[in-house]
Amino acid sequence: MLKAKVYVNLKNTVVDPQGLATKNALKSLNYEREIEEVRVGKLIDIRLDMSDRKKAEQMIDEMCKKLLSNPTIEDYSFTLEEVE
Amino acid sequence: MEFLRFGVVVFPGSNCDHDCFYVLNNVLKQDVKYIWHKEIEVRDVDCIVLPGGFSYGDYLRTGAIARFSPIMQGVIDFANKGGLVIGICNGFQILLEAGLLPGAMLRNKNVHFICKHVHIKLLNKNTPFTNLYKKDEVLKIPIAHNEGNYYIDEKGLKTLKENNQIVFQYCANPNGAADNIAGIINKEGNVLGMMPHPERSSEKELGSQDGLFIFKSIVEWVK
Repeated sequence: MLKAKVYVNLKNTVVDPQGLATKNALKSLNYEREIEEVRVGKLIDIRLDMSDRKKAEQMIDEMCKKLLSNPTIEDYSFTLEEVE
Repeated sequence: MEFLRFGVVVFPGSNCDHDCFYVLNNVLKQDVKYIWHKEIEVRDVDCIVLPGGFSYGDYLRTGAIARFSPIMQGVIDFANKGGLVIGICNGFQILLEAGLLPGAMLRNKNVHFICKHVHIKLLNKNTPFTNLYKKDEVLKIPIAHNEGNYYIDEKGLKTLKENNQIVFQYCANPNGAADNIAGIINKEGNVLGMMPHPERSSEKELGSQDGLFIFKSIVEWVK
């Protein structure tokens, strides 16, 4: 079995209102000086009943393009790992 | 043609479907039917309404799951053949996800759900949806959304402007939308998406009738 972790984030060129609000809240918690930027994204776990890594990569990539991300505003990346 | 045939698509989580049905049927006296999202084909309608609401709980992204409902292929085919489609609020978000309109929706700039009457300015009255308004008319019409912060890249915005595709602009930007955009139409001129709710401003009792002319314009256009 394989497990994919898919990360979806707003593109750097797109303003992230959630990230900005979170950043301001963290600043009010006295992390004023340390924080430069906060971006909020999504993590999607997908368990796959297959062992062919190459095929899985292709499939997850397709899923990202078709549904999991919106290419107009978001970037995606993913990792694949063996699980029991 | 005596009556126009409207089809209001119902997704799980749609909540303005009944309002749209009521305005079209009871106020405008047109022929209306609901189209369940599991149907695969659009039949016997002149205009499709994608209503507001929270289809599929807004999971993943607004409109992202609804876009893959069985009915959406039918809606896309209908639109590609020149059929009239209007997406209101969540319906607009679904049209963006389906690629029938360009751009995408982000969270409101203030990260709040905004529910209030706003003023929007008409930029293009030469459409099937706006032909009964006066040029540059300002409408009072409610918005109710969490993701109405319209995004499009600079090149896309230029194209929208060049083709007169921006139909409505907010007079005062409530949500951070690019170029104050409240509603756009496709290049072909048969698919309109708008965040404000015309079905909630179609009777005097609701404080504004400015939205009614959207639906009246459609009837006028097809007749």
